[in-house]
Formats: sequence, structure tokens, C-alpha cells
Amino acid sequence: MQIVHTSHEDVTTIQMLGDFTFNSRRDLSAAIEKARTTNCRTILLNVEHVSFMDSAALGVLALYSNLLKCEGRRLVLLRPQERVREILTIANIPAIIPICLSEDDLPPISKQAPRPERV
Amino acid sequence: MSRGASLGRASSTPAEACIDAPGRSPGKILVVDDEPLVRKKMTHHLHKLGYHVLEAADGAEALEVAQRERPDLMILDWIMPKLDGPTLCERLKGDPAHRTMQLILMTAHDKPEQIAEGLARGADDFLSKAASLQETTARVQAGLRAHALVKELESARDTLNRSYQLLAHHQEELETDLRSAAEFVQSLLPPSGNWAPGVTLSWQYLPSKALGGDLFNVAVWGERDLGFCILDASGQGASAALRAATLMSLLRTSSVVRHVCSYDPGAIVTEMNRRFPLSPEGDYFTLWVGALNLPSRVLRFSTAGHAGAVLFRSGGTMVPLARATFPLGFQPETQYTSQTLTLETGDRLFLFSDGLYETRSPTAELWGRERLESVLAGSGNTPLAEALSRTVRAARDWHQQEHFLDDAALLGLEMIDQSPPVA
Repeated sequence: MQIVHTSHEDVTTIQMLGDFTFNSRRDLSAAIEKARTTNCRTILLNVEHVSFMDSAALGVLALYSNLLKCEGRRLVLLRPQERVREILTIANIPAIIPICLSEDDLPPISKQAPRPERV
Repeated sequence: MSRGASLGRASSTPAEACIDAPGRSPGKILVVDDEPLVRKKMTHHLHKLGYHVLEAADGAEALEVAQRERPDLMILDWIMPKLDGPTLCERLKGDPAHRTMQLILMTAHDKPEQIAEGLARGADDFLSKAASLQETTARVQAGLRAHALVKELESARDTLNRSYQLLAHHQEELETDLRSAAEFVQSLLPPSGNWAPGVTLSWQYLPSKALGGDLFNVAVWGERDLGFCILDASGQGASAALRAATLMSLLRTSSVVRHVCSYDPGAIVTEMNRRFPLSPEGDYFTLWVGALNLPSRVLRFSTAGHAGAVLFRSGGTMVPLARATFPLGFQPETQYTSQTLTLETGDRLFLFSDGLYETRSPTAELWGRERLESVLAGSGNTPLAEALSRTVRAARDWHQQEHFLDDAALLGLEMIDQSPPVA
């Protein structure tokens, strides 16, 4: 899996390419840890080019969803493919991680909320 | 033929002539020439350069000295009695003990065809008998550098070979351990057959080479219920297998009674969710638990993110028995509920792990749930055990390898004619 990391204002985008599986979960963890060194409020995982996620990958998403929430941040998934969306849905991931179809659809975040600290 | 003396100290034979150069780390060079003057001149020159020099007066003696002294480099004349230079080169290069030794053939002429023959027969370099001392020095130095490099390469190769053997040994040990672990995991699985009047059971279990975390179980719960469950620990390897065995031990009848105080699937899944939080590495379980009341044939079931559960009605209709729920540990406060439906004779319930339908073809295409369900649907008229075998065979045909990348488990229950009904 390839990962491209970009930051813009309050949002850090992590673009993922390829399968997201047990073997690549460390890559994503490293990318999210890097994002946690900034004080961005939103970490946007662009999974548009991810064709498959396995159960180990879901565990990483759940783990970071909980962790980021505690830090006052949020994890958002962008444009999952149909098969990936099915995998996410059966694990009820949309209930804990918002899914967006475009960057413009990001749910608003309160500007009054304090910015998270860099880790 | 002269049997020359050593330069610097007396020796019994020319071959044993040894020149020491204190304070240096000389290469060991054997000079082979039947003309004593030529040999002495070369020996003297090399000695002055600080090398450890040995002598031999013909090819046969050179072979003996080479066996005994293992020189780094040999300078040898082309024409010699007993064994000529090219033949000596052939002998030495054919012996693995001398593979690193550099051979410099001395010739009176430097005809291309002569050079080609020498190279073909094992020489590494040539030296004209008329060569200057500077050229001789340069060729000897180049030869010793080549020798040092070849030795380094051989040493690296030997180290690699030893490492490879060690790795192969560890790999063998690991695979033996994994096979033992897989056998242990399989020993936890329930026997096939008629578990209760009106219910028959069959299963297929294919542990991956690396061992995974799939397990399932069937047990009689109380007097009237048949309980069954399937779980899948995320990840692979011994860690996943151990976690799966731990959870499965809590799903045994006595543990359910002690820890949950109920055979309600929703209550069981809720308790397991409380006990097995998401690990710091993001490891977790999916779990599906069902309880079939034998007299009424009412099935209650609950699932924690486990997608592999379908019911095929006797008429062929497929009913998915999975819904969007958190896997164990995702949300510690989740209360899981039970759903119910009534089974009828001929209905078949299949529980399976994602390792079965997430198998890939040699071109990396997923087999997928649709194909799995299609094979199961198409096997409705075949005996249950055969339907399961056919399904696994189809997955294997797709994968085209002996082992799946993840464990693959497939459990089937069929409602058969009830006689006599359980009181």
C-alpha cells in the first residue's frame, strides 16, 4: 500500500493506494502518528483507491477513531469503493467514523473547540 | 633441474624456502620455475617487497607445496618438466581447496592464442618473462587484491550459507510449532454428525500455513438448546490463534453458565464484548452466537461484526444472518441484542470466516461472498458434508495453492426430520 500525506489548514489528508490489510496497517499507523504531531482537528483518510480492506485494517481504524476522539480530533473516511463500504458497514464503522463523498462534505467542526495539542 | 635454496635462511628443499618479512602482512606467493636463476631472481624481488615467498622447481613439486602451504598466489612457468604450467593451472582450479589462489602464468611469448589457451585452462593473469620489475610488482599486487576479494566473497558466502542454514532450521522449528498449534486448534473443534434429534452438523476447517484465529464450536446448552458460535480473531499467527482459543474457552457451556448466567446470544456477545477490549495494536474479534431451541426450532442469534452467517431455506431462499454491528471491543458499552427466526426441515445454516471468501486467485482477484453463496446455493440438493467439500474445493480451485493466506472455516447445520422430538 502507498500512502501520501498532505496538510491543509485544519485537515491532514492521508491518501491510501492499494489493499489495506494486516501487512500495511503499520504504514497507516505511521501516517496517522505523523498527523498527530500537528494540531489538526481532522484526519481525512482518502480511501478512493483502496480496493480491499481486511479485518486487521478495520482494527486500526477503530483504534485510531477512539484515540483521536479523546484528543479532540476526528477521523473521516473519504470516498470508499463499494466493496470497501460493505466491509466497513458490516463492522458498523460508519457509526464511529464519518464517511464523506468529497472534501466539501466534511461535517462542520466547532471553531470554538480548543485545538488539539501536538503529540 | 635445480632444487634452489631459500633466500635468507637454509631450507631442505627449494619448495620450503621461506622468506619472512617482519612487521608486514605479506601475501604468500609460490614461485614455480625449473630454471634456478629465473626463480631466484623472482624470489629475491618478491622478498624485497616483503612477501612470504615459497619456491618449487617443477609442476609436481608445486602441487605438493600448494597442498601443504596454501599460497595466495602462484607465479608459474609455462614450460616445465613433469607438469607444465597450463596443466598445473587446470589441476589447481579443479580443486575447491585452491579456488581462491591466483595463478599468473609466465610466458616467453605473448601470442594471443597462447594467452587464450592459458585463460581457458585456468590462469588468472600472464607475465612476460621479459617483464620489468615494476610490471611484475603491479601484477602481483593486482593478483593479491583479487585473491583478497575472492576470499572476502567466499567468507561472505560461507556466512550467508550458515545464516541460511540457521534460518532454515528455525523455519522448520517454527513450522513444526505451527503445525502442533494447528492440531491443537483443530482438537477444539466439535465432532461432525447428528448433534441432536433433527439437527446434523458438518464442517471444514483449513488452517493457514501461518495459523490464524478462526474457531467455532457447538454445544448442548441446558436441556433444550443447541448452542453454536464462530469467532474470528483479527490478524494472523500464533497470537491470533491464542486469542481465539482464550475467547473460545469462555464460550464453553460451563463458562457461559458461570460468567453470563444466560444462554441468550445477545447477553453472551455483550459479556464477551466487555471482556475483550480492542488491543493496543487494534486486534479484536468478530463473533456470531446462535442458540437453537430444539423443541420449537426457534433460532436466536446475535453477531458482533461477523459477516459470515447465512441461512438457506429448504426452498432455496437465502437469508443473511449478519447485520451491521460492532466487532468485540470496538465500543465497550455496546449492548448486543438477539434476533429470532424459526427453522424448518431442510433449512441449512452456514457459518464461515472471511478467510474462505477473501481468498485470491493467482491474479489477485478476490473469490468473494457472491461466489461463495452461489456455490452454497447450488449445492442444496447434495448432502451437507458434500456441499461443504464442494464449496472448499471451489475456493481452492480459485486460489490454486495448497494453503490459504488466512484460516478458512465453514460450518454447516441442517434441520432434518425430527424423530422423536426432544421433550
